[in-house]
Amino acid sequence: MIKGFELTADYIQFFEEAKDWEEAVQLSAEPLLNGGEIQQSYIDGMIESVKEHGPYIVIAPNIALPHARPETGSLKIGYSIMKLNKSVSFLEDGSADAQLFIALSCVDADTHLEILQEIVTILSDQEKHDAIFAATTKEEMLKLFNN
Amino acid sequence: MLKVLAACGNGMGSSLIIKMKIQKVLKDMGLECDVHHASVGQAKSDARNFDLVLVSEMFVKEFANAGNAKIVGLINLLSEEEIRTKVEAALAK
Repeated sequence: MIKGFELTADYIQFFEEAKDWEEAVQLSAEPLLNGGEIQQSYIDGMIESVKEHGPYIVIAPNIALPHARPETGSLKIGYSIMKLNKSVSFLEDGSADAQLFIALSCVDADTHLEILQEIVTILSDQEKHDAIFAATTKEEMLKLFNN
Repeated sequence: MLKVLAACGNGMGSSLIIKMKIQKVLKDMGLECDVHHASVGQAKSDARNFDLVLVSEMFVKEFANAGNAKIVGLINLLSEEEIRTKVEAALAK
């Protein structure tokens, strides 16, 4: 369990598809917007940083970690999980596709380290990684991220 | 002591993931290291003060003037295997 944030079913979403990567990033972060962790300007910041630097938020095949600089509008730490049935492409050549989105609210350079550490540990575990991509319900996803 | 810099778009996400992974990989390789993280903007001017710079593959081209620092571009930041293979190759150069 992360100090200052509890991952609940409200922060987990499943969608069939998104029309493009920008819509996917927006959708992935909306639970954080509704939960008061971030402002819309933070989501705009996520999209801007991809436009500026390229899709470096695609941290591994099929996994994106949208985040932005705290000063763009992050209020509290937290993260939300979204899985699409159909992946979206960040680049036309298909070298940066993502199906799983983990939107991260960073309030400063360090406090989200614990969240990142947990996420990285979970995703680096091949068994859990595969279970996440196979999960179809919020309950399954919660169990994978919350134990 | 190997001086390592991990960099990403804004220095908040991917660079921290790379930092976590490279610390583990170098420890497994029996190498001592000091790992810093930064945004690509910062990292570009600091790179020459490090032995090894790790970034997402798409940023490698930004480090053309990194002096003696060895630049390693990563595709899957979660793959310790990829990091180890690429780091070993870079250090052997």
